[in-house]
Amino acid sequence: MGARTDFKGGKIDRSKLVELEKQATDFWIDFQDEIGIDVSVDGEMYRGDMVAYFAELLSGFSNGGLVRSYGNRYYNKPIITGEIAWPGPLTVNWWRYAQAKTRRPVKGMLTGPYTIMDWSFNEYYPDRKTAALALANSIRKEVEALIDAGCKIIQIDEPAISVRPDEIDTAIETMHAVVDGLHAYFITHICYGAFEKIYPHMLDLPVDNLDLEMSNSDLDMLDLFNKYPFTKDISFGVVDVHSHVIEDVELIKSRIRKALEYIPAEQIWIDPDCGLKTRTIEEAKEKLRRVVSAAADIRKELT
Amino acid sequence: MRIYSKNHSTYPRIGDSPEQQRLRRAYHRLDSGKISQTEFNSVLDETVKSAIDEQIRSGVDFVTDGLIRAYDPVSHVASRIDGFESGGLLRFFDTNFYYRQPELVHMPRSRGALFIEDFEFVRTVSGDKASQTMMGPFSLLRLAKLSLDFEAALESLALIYGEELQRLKTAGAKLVQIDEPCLLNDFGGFDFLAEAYRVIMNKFDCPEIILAFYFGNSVPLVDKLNSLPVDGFAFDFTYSPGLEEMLRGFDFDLGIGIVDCRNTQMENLHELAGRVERLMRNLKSDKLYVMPSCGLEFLPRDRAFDKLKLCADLSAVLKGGAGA
Repeated sequence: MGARTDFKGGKIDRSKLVELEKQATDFWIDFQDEIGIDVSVDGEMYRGDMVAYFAELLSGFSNGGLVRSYGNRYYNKPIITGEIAWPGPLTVNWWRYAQAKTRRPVKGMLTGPYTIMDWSFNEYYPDRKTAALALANSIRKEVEALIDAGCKIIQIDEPAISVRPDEIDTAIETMHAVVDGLHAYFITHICYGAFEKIYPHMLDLPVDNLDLEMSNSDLDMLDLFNKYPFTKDISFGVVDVHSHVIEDVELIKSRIRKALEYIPAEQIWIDPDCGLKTRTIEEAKEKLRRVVSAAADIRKELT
Repeated sequence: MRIYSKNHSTYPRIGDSPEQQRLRRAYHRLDSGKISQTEFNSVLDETVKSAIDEQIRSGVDFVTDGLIRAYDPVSHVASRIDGFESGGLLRFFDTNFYYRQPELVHMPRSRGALFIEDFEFVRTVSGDKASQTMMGPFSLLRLAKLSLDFEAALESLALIYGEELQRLKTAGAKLVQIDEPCLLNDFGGFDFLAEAYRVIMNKFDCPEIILAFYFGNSVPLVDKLNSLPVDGFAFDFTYSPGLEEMLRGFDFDLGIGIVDCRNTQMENLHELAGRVERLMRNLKSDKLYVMPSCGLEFLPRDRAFDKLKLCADLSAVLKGGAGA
């Protein structure tokens, strides 16, 4: 963050910024290898914000000013001011860089078109659906580029899906536009919304795995699975990423055991609720370490 | 008909300039122990004053403190009432803003004044332009995690809100906006809300009260509002197609949230004026408040100012005065 501020202020040049971003990426790839995580991420060291990153690179966007997300956290909310177009690979080089550093699979990480649309202002397209489908065309090209580069697991984050239940069909349509006919293991992440209003309809999203924030809401979504079984793979969030509290391994294990009461083990992936960027380095490391440790212990219990 | 313009509730606490980012830096410095709480409070006061000054400069008749002291509009109230504990982050309606969900662990009890100090600060800066906005008791409970009896909790909260409104009137508040957006997702709860406001208005000496609804369709609600003992209602027109038709013959004070504060695109002043003038021909309201559709904190600061100024300009056009 400091480096990005320095870069914006002209104190360092782009090559220095990239060098620092690579160092940070190396740090987190090495850490994930060290703790034995099964599927790694590059940590998005080169992204300031999950929507602004794509908005800055795709054609059709102008920079909006700062808007508050929560607490003391802000982001530059982009404005759609023209026709959206994909200029070329946006994340592929960073994915290749990270994958070259580890034997473990590294997820390709994208923000989905529905969320980019919802978290931007729109001054160009006639309505939300048209804007989302225009974005889907561009995100699909990025998915194709990742697959061509060898990426096998691609996560398309759509946290905004849980927010407008009346638009779930639009969200499903845009996800189809992104992934149909493409061969990869697709994950979508949805968080911090009223899941009871979109479940089980959200199971129609054309992905293999739904990555859900469970711990922040005390696993209350599991009650929904009683009535309508969860039929996809799940990335089950077992630590709260908005809390300084480092969960006990035993607490994390109890959450995994709870998940197993509703979903077969072979469908369950274990992860944090959401991204860890709001935690300190030490908090993030310890939370991840305990997630991996808990998962390993439960695996032993199951064999 | 008397026509006014007012801010809805929130105002951005950050902007593009380094001066407008002082509060963000101050939070970081407080967290890292580089400044004291007293020094932080000084920056917070200056930020609130700056937001009030901008609202005044926009030309609106009524300003707020921008809810800049609030983590969010929900926990801001809950944290000042005994019985609520702080919970996890939850999305605020269909926005990309998150509030910290309070959990009610025992029946609400008063801890004393809720917003008097905040209001008096606004009054010191803006005089008679000062108004107060707060999340209402019905919506507070609907947005909270609740394992206790809703009706009993609402009854307790109504008394706490009534006491606060009475204090605000004594402190000089002429206009208080109480936000009840959750009613738009829960029309079945109307009778509970109505009873709460009967308690508030009958037992306490309150200033002028406007209930505000946003982020949902208000059309199904309009016919039921006659039974509420408040002075007026503010609607988010951007979510309510056909609302103008439903408001024919409306005789409460009316807040028209017709300037869309969820999008940066600027409306045309004269098109808006034409629309409101057509609405006004069929109203029996005594007062009309031209206002943003919702809080302004969903916009970047420069556009928030522009939208608020548009409300002031629209009010001036409607009054037939200069300054548009």
